[in-house]
Amino acid sequence: MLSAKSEQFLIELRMYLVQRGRSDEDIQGIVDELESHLIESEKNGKSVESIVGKDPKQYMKSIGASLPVATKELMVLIPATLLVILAYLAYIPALSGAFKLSQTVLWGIIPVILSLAVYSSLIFKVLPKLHAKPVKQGIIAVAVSTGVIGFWVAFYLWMVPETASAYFTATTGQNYVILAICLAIFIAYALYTKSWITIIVAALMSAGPLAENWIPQEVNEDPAYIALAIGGFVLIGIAIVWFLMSKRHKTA
Amino acid sequence: MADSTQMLKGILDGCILSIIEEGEIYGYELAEKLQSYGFQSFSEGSIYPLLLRMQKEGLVSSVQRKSTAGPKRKYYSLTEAGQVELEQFLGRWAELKQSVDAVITKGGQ
Repeated sequence: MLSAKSEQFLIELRMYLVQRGRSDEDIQGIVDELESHLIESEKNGKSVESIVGKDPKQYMKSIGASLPVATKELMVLIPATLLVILAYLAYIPALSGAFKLSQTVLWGIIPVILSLAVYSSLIFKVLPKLHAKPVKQGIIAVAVSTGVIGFWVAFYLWMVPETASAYFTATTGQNYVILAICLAIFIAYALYTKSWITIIVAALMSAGPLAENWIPQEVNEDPAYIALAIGGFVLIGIAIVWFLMSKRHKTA
Repeated sequence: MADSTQMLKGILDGCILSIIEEGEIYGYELAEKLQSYGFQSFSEGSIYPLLLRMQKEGLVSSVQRKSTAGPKRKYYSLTEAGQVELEQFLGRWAELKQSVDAVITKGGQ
């Protein structure tokens, strides 16, 4: 079993290498090897500093410099990720039958890029440093999310007067075509990255518009059902937090 | 201490190849062996960037094996190119050692 400090070092190393475009296989290889080394060293009473030196950042750089950049993977992954982002932007309007290209949508790419930059620095730089402090991690994640959502709301309130200027408004048939293209992109990306996350996010995003279509108007606007739904989600949230905390407690 | 670390940089590759030549070995074992030979001033993890580079250059090959102590271990062995590199290192080292010895002995006289 690794100490929290060693675990944190391995997480920071992984994030550092991911950010610098090293291949998953190479990253897994070196992380496994160092984990095995750290386990044996700690059993013999050695500290993580005796393994990686006094400057872990410098050590990460030397590991990064020894691994090749996964150019081929990145040449596919970067355009594919941009395509998925565009698909996410088009998906909900098309699902609601209201896809259109307006100034709001086009300028909306700016907050999307800014949000991605904020979240990637949060995931790759800030959270790994707080590996042993989950409460602090949670507070920072909530604070950043509140800031990002606030920025989005302010941006759209500012852009609302421009929404009338739609360059292109999709017909019902075109909405279905856009929807089918988006779904194909999500499935292809999930197959390429061997991860369900793209599809799960799309499914979660669909819940609102689909529920609006299927749930009768009077039920949708009934305060009792609204309160019931909020209560249900709060309970699910509490259950997930409790499950994660008990899992963490067991592995600690 | 810092000076010996600087001196070590140029020769650690050859020492690692020489230890791997003795037989298949994994990272932790290799670091322990280096220390048992008297190399105390380096951080153990510094062997991994070197091993990664040597693997990229085809000097060593590796195979993963299960371990009872934790995650799989990566065992390294010398390739033919590694053997050639080791022989060249030994030649270079003998020359260097002879020159340094000559300078030191003269200086001492």
